[in-house]
Amino acid sequence: MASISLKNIYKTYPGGVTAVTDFNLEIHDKEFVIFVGPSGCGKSTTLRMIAGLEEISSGDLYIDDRRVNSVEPKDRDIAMVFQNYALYPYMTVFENMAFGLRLRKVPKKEIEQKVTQAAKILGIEDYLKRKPKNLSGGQRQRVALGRAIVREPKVFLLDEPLSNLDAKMRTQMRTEIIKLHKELQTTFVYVTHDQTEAMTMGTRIVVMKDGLIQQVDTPDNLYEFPVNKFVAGFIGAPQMNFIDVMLSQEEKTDPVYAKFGRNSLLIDKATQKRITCEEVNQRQFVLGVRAEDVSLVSGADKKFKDATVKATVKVTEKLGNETLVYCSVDGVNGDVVVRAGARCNVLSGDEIEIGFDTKHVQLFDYDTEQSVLKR
Amino acid sequence: MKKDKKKENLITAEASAPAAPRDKTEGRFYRIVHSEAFSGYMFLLPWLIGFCVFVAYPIIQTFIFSFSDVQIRLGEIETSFIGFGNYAKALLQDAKFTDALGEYAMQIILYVPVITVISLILSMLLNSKLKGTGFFRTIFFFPVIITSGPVIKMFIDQGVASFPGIENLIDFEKLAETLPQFLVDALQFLTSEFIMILWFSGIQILVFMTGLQKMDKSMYEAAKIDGATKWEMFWKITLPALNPTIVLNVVFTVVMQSIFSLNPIISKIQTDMNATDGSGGYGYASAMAWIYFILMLVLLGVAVLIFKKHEKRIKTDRRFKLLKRAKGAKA
Repeated sequence: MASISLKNIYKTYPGGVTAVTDFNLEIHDKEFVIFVGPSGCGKSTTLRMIAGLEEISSGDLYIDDRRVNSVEPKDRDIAMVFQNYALYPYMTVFENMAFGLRLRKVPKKEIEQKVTQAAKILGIEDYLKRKPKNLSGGQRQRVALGRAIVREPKVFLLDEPLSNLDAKMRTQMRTEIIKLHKELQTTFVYVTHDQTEAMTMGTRIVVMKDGLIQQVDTPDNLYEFPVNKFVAGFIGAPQMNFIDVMLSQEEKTDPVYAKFGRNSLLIDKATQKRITCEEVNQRQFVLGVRAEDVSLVSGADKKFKDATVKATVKVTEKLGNETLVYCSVDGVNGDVVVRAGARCNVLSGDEIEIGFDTKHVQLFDYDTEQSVLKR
Repeated sequence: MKKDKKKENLITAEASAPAAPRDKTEGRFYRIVHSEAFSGYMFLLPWLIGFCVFVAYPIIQTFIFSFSDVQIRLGEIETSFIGFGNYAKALLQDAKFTDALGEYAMQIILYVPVITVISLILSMLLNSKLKGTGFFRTIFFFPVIITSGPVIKMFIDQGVASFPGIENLIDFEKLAETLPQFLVDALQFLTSEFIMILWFSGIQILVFMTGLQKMDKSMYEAAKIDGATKWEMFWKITLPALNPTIVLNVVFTVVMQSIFSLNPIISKIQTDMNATDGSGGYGYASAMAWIYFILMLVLLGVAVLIFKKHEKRIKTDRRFKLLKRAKGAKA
């Protein structure tokens, strides 16, 4: 149980490449923090700096108020789970889990007790005699988790632990890791590039891009109130629809319209109130709308009054529980994705009408790509 | 056009008609010729012929010769069976041969562990992230290319292979007063052969380096977090993982040392084979060759057994004790 504090952390490699820039974060005790971002955004580097496997170029790292910049990994009281499991191939599952304890000269009886207990939690009691090569991916990752558990560390560091597993096993292990966090009541720092993992597991998510923190927030807030276009696009699947729009508002009290091509959408009053810009009339913005906030509408539908546009269906994706409809809309680069019901029967080439729920749209500055809506 | 139509009809008729029972032998032949195994054996055939003619046949022939008195007269080979006569002569009467055998055995016993250890250390150094490792890798591998037969003979004759500087550093006579003679001999042998040992380590270094580069780096990181020192990582992670490579290198070293062109036994066998004074001949040379071969096999077997045993020991070490206890605790 520990808190981690990262203050002005930089990581610069000898070639001059900066992987992490001015990283500031307070991770509280028992928190499950997720670092998420595309490949090369510096999330793994940051985790490795916390682990002590990577040197910190500048800045301060504290674990429980103790500065650990130059403390050896073994003395940081952390345990790490790697993407490729990093099990010792010539040792059995038991030996793999006992290795760290043996090096710490823990009495043999205690080792046996801890290993069997951890194996019981993870359901790998029957595999203790086996070598890693005789285990499936999921079992190997459990052993890797077991190796971390027996150490009873203050902090668990997990570097994309589910990336090598198939989709079904990933979902199963995801739930198990969440359960494990609840059971162990310890600080977890988890790195992933999979936004589903991030959204389902973390108590807080750190979204990173190009070595910089973009936003640190709870999963709900990240989804509802992204601070910029990158976060809005990265979180959520399918990706948020982005439309370059021109806002028009004749008087300050008048309603705001978002215009693109021959289309015009009336922005909901609640959203209008959240706009932070002084003057929006005739200014270009990026309108962001999630697929579930766009619907197929029939002419009689009044829900989307003044917020409907004509569209042509390009492709439909039947996912079983829902259908994703990809449409082309006048004035929009790329497709607009609509999340429709499971039994939606539109076909490619159909001319349809789609409605935007402008209460839940996002607005980003055209140049800075920062959100112009307050919470 | 008509012809084409006929052809078409034929094809459709063939396709629709039930498959006519084929001639059994033709079918089997077709299957064999078109099997993957057949292609494989065809590719192997030139080598197999070469092996039978140039290796298997001579081996059998020398085995027969070794129990015979062989006389070559005007292109005809006359053999008369004399039992173990040639073997008895080689082992009991020919002091030169037994001395050479002893020297060879001593050389293998000293060379194999030393070459293995030195090449392991060098490969680990060359595998580390140091500047100019590419240059050093070339330097250590270079002798493998240049030390082929005649070149190495010239080097040895000119004294390049020995390093008097090292030999003169140690006063072996004084050492003999405190250490047993065989240890002093071994030490003297090693110092005088030091450069040869380095020269013969090129391939082994390369083999070890491939073994080392195959290892997963995150395994070492996990060990680092687990609290292992570099020393512990070497003994508990690197060495067990390298064990198959060690066995491979041991076999390679023994074989290379045994077939080395300047090997004294091989030269003795060659001169005795062509001796015209009646002391040697094909029969005697064959017997010596077979004794040499068996000794080589024994040494190879012992070396492999030692390292295999080491591997097993690593595998079973502590594991069962702890597992037994774990079972006991569970019960």
